[in-house]
Amino acid sequence: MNDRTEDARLMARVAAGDAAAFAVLAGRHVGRAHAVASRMLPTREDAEEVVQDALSRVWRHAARFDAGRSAFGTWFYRIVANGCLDRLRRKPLPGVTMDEAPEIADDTADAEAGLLARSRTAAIKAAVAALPERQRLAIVLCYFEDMPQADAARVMGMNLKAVEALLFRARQNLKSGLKTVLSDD
Amino acid sequence: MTDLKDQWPVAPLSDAAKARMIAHAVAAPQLRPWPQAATAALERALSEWRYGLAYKLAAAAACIALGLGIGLNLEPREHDVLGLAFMSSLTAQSGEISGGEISE
Repeated sequence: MNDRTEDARLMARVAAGDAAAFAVLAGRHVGRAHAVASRMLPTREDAEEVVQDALSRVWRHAARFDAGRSAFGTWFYRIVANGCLDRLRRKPLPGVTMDEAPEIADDTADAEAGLLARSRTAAIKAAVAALPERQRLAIVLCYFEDMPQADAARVMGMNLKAVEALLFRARQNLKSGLKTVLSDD
Repeated sequence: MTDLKDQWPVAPLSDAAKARMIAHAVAAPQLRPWPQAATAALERALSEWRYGLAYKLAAAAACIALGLGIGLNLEPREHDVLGLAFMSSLTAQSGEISGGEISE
């Protein structure tokens, strides 16, 4: 059984009020949704609130979901993406950067390499944060979450050509924003 | 561009946070399209006599009132000939007073 069929089967049970099926379904998608929201929003709390809100909407409006029209993933990530965009409109990103980067285990025991890695992370975050909202969403979905462009287009409610154009512009902006980081490579 | 993901890792959501989110979501009641909600309410009303008792009593009272009203209206009426004659005489008199158009 493929993921889409399994999601549709679980969603049918969720629509009938099965909380256990909802837990399984949420467990399959919540990690990725949280990663998308974390890269779109300024703080971890904002990301968690958006994902929480999306999960609540899925539960409350489960009966509205039509498996014939779209995959559950598309529907869910669209709710998350719209939640992120709404939140950004109400509370724009600060000019500088986001939360502190999560601590990464320093396997190399090389403090300088760790510092370099953290400064790169900060530069990437700042460059992505400087992108316009839609470009940022396209970059996050396609490059950070490895979502096929066609799926990203459905999530964003746009056609494929428009997403390709967004990605092209986003790459240009990122390249100029990350000149120093890329030149180090 | 492809190694950007490796250079910006996101701390994964903890199992406790996932469980908390799921518990919070399922604590709210589900919304159903109105035909589904109405069918479910009707099924429950038919299987549990106490469910919606006030509505059931109000509906029964309305049915009784309607039945009585219709029943009373359907009773055969006798024509009130005297009353009709009285009303027509009144109309004729008022016609004469106002210019006599009716009496012509």
